[in-house]
Amino acid sequence: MESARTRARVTTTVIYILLVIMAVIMLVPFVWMILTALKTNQEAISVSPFYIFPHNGWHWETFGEVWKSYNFVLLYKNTLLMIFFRVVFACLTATMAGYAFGRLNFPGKNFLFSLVLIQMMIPSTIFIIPQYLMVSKLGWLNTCAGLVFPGMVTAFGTYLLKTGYQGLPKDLEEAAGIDGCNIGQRFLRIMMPLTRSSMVSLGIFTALFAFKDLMWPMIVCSSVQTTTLAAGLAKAQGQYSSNYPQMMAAAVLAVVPMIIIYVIFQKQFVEGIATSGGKL
Amino acid sequence: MNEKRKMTAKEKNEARWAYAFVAPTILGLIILNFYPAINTLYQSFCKTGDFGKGNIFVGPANYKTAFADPEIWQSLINTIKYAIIEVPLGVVIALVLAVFLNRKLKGTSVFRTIFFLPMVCAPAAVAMVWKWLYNQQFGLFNNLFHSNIAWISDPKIAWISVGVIGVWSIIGYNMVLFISGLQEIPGDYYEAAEIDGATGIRQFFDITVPLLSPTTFFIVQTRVIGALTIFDLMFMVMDKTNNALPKVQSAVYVFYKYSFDQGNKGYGAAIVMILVIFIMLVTAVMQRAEKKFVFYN
Amino acid sequence: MKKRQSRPAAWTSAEIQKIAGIPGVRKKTAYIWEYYKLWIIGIIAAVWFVTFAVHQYTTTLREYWCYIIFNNTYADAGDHSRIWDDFVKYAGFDLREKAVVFKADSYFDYLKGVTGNSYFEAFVAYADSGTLDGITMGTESLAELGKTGRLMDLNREECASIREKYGDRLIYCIPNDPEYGSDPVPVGIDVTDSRLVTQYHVYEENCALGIGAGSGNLQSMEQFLDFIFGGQE
Repeated sequence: MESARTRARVTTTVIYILLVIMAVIMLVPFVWMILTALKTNQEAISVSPFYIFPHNGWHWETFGEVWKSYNFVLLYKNTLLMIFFRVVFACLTATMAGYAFGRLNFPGKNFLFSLVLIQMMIPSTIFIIPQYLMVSKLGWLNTCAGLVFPGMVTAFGTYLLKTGYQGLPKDLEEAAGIDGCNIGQRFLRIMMPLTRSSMVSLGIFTALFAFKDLMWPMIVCSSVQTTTLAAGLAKAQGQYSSNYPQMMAAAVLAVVPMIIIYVIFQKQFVEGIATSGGKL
Repeated sequence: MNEKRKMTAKEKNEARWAYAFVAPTILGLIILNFYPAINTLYQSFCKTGDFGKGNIFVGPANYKTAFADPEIWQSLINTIKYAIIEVPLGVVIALVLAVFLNRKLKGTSVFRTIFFLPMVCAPAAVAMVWKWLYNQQFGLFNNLFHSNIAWISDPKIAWISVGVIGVWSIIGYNMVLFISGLQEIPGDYYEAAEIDGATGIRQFFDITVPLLSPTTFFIVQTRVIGALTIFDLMFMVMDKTNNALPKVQSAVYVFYKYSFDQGNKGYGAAIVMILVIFIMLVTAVMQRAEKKFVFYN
Repeated sequence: MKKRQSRPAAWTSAEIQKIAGIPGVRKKTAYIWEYYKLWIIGIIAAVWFVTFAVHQYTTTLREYWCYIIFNNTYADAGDHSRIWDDFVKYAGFDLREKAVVFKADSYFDYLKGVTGNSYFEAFVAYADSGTLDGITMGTESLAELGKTGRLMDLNREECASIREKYGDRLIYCIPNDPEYGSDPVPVGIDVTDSRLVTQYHVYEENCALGIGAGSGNLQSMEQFLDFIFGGQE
């Protein structure tokens, strides 16, 4: 008994050590962003001598300057609105299609699913110009609708949810069929809640991709009033006037809401399906 | 498969529901993605938009040029080499981390957040850090190992260095998916194994690996596609003047160079089409393999 | 058959009864929220989105009198700036009918490389979709950009009247594409001594204007040239 406990303790310690090493490796660029923000521009771009820490004082005021010079509140609002609609639409369309592909049989299923796969193989740059024309003809330039437009359906999400549904035990649905649920009700009440963690990861990735997307907001939102964080910051900075400390300070401030979203989402993971029983 | 069989009323009902469910997604994909893709396919047979002249149909000329161009073949080889580094390493490391983080340990949610951070970081910061780490004179790696290696400008090594950055930046993505897959494995399997006295490693191979295989397959499939369409990593880390670039640049990078930078859209479109057909072949093989290796209960 | 269809309905009514059976409004809403929140949010979002999108479609101007990018400048030359106001007044455009867009937040230089530059990507989207009518930047930079074929060949038939007026200011480049010919192609008009520099200070040094290869508003562009070369009304 004693040796088993010692062994468990050793395992735990080893795991912690590995996790900490990984954590340090993964944290480097984030810490780097903060350190760069605290330097002067000269220190930031100097390679020889190379400064890890700022040696001319820590310039915390850069964050304040950046906060004042960009309209962060407006940019946050635009970004969050876009993320919200993209997540809602992606989750709704992908969970429905994922259920059909993962659980139901119908003629043409393989063909339609191969369309979903093929979409992921095409470099997304070739979609941009036709999509821009569509948004322009719809009069959605410089609006939230235009920002959300290309993210309303998701091949990635459909595939993800299909995998989620396929992984569920077969007998679940049969029991419900006997209870007198039709397919729609079975989907709503029994199957969908069980794929909650797939939906959460879809939510995380949809939010992340929307947040990081620079090219699309850059093209459809020419005015700073309606654009997103990524594009708004890039626009205000210009391409060749690289003030690295300011750039990084802005990037850190931009990332904070994204981290909060992730923390909220991932809490959903921890609760697990055991406790969720039927809830969404 | 060709013989037509009458569907029963139950099957018809099921098919009707299924079509209703996939309709929004398929319609959206057709409008948003396949219409542009078909446009590109047409463009690949054209000489495009020179100085306001518009498209001129030239038949398979672009494909002939592309097939005869060693740059295209080299870029395909580069892309495959990149995928060979990124996919297996990224998947294995992320799987191990996810299994650790799925245990009842203190502080797992902090670690999960930390591992997610690289994905939200500004690409400029990521590029700066890695460029410094790889710097030949002042970089950390050369100082640490007392070596003098040109990590990203030696054509023999550069593809590995870029692959390492790829692995590093994709771990968070794979890990989030693995964690969500692990959450869907019912806990009683492990409890039963525990009673049987199975060790952690045994449990991992007997329960986790088979039950996680749908998620694993999904990650491998999406990452293979993702790695074969890699693009931004190349221009973020490699300067245009870097003489290792021809040995590192991916197929999408080459497409981008022709289509965007040089305005030769027809030729760029032909490159994309060759790449897409190649990925389709790879995917078809993988989908075949799915039935063999993936366990669905 | 009839039986099968009535059963789901029975299930729904059972659910309604179940909700009705929960004591207290608070608990009732809590129950509904717990089980149906995603659907409630989704439906509200969808309805709002569709309403908004249709409203936009019916109220927004979807065509342009002209669409001009002032590249690589920090001057205030966007919509409703002084130069924008003056030009709209000069040309007498009816803004209720079509829009006039001046974009002054664009930064790329073809001479320095453009791979991964999202301003350049945006320019490509505007040029290749035929939205772009005109773009101004440094003279050499414009000549280099012209090699890609994204700017109008001013020797073309459509540009005859522009060529007639401003033929002495043309800027030439040799196209990337050898099949287009090895002769220099006129892709831009030198506007260094125009009011763009002297009066509005959009640029300080030499600059030139190119016309988008897919532009359908050559007349507006001619008006713009007339406007910056003196035409005060």
